[in-house]
Amino acid sequence: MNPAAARPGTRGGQVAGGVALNAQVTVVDRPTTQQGLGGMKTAARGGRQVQDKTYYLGLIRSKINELNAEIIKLTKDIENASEENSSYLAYEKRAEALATEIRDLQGELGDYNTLVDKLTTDEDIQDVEFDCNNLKSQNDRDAKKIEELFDVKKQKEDQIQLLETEMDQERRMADNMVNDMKPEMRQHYMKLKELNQHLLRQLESGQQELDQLNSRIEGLQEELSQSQVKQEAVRLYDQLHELESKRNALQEEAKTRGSPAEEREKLLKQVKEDNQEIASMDRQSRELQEKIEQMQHEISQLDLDIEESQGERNQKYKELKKREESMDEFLNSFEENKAEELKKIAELETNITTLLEHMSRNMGRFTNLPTPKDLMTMKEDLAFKEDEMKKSETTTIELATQRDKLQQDLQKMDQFEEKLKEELVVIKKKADQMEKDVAMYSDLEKLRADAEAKKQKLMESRVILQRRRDTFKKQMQLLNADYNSLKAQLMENETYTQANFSTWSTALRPLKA
Amino acid sequence: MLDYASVKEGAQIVLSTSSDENHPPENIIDGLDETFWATTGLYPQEVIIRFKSPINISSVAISCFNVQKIALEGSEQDNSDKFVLLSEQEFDRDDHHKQNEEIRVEGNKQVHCLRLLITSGYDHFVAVYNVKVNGRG
Repeated sequence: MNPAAARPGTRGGQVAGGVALNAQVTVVDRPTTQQGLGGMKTAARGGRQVQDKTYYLGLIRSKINELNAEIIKLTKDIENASEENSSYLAYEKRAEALATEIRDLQGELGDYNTLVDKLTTDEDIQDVEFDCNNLKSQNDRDAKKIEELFDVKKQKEDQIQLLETEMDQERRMADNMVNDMKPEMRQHYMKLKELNQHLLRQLESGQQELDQLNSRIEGLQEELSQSQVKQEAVRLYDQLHELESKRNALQEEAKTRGSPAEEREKLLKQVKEDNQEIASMDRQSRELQEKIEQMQHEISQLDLDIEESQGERNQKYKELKKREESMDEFLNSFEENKAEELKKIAELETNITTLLEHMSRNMGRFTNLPTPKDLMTMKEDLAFKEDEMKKSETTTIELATQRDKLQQDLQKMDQFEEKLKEELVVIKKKADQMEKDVAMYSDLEKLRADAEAKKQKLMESRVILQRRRDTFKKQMQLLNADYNSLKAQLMENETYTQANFSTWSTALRPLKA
Repeated sequence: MLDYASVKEGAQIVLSTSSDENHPPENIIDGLDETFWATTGLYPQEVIIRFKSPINISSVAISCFNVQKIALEGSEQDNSDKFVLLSEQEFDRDDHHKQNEEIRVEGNKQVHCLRLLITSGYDHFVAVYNVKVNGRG
């Protein structure tokens, strides 16, 4: 219930606190003034009661102090500003450097962005490398082009320099020539030079004038194109020009023209003259035509003559040529033909000799030909022999078949033999074995000893095994006892029996149904 | 040192769970390193050695192959009854080599029958070459 404690932060509260803390103020006792709760004012709040000279002096002093502080502050500001100004240049330089750095970094960022783009679009590294190579090659090409251009530029510059030197030389030469001239010539030359310069100046001025006029024309034309009335006027002026020129021409004509009679006479005379001229020209033309015809006739005659004479000679010439060709051919192929013919002759000769030999042999045989009777017997013989031959052929066939059969038999026999050999080997082995056995069994003592030893061994093992059986039995008994005790324990277990019962009953249900 | 688990000292194999004709359990106590007892698959496998008389075992040296876990049990009676666990060991895997292990037995117990119980191996089959028992008679 302490208002001062409730609002400790305010200045008024603190000032008032001195009073309020000591006075136990209760809200209920507080008078509700016109200004609400804020009406509770202390005397300190009202300001100074007595305001004398010293008070005002104090006030002014404080104000002066404030002003001084302000002035100091401002001077400091100014200093700062000047300092900043001085360092501005340095900053600017730095800013420039930073800007370039930023540009470089932006470029780098762009590269990385593209890289990220490539990564997100799942582009292959090979594609990227391919692109990179492409760009590189393009760069190289551009660089080369630039170099080429630079070379061209250098060449041009060289050319220009060369030409300048040449020009210099020419000028010097011209000067020399002028110097070497005779005085008259030089004077003449100088005059001409002056004239040239003068003319050049004139030309220049004229050109300038022309340009001016041209520009003026352009301006006027522009003006013209802008106004329709002026265009119309131009058109009318043109018409007027035309008509004037026409009128002038007509006036000239009218001046030369005389009276109608004179004119007619003049015309008649002209006509007559013309007619005469025409007639003469006609005649001339006719004569010329006749001449032409004659000439043509002559030409045709000459042509005919030429043809006749040339035709006969040509034919002869052609014939001769043909003959020559054939002869040439004959001569060329003569050797070959000769060789061929000789060959043919030789062949025929050999043929003839063989035929003659044959004939002579046959002639020899002809002498010892048999009589018809002999022939008959021979024929019989032949028939008989043919028969025999047939028989023998059949027998050969039979024999071949027999041979095949026998061969098969032979093969079978071979196989049999092999088998027998194998059997023999087996039997031999058996015999060996038996012989060994015989040797073994003949030594009865050893056999007996062996048997005894075996028996001994077996007995030993019997003993061992019996012992083992006993131990096994014992172990079994022990294990059985264990098992039984465990089983009993299980049976005693209630949960097991119950579980077992329930499983049994579930198993039996389907059987009952 | 005397090897009590040998035929010379009157030890006998009274039980073995595997008995191959070529590799009988007697090979364990014949004192030869070349012969061995081979099991015929599955685990556990056991063999019981009975000594001539009860002895105090101090250590058992076993040379075998592919054995992983082995337990030694002993019984005071000669009728192989009431076995007590003496020691249990797990051998490291050692391919292509014989495992030569020595198991120390504490407690100084009288043992007449020694049971070797191989509870697991590194392969389907294991082999035991030799068992040597050191102790006092």
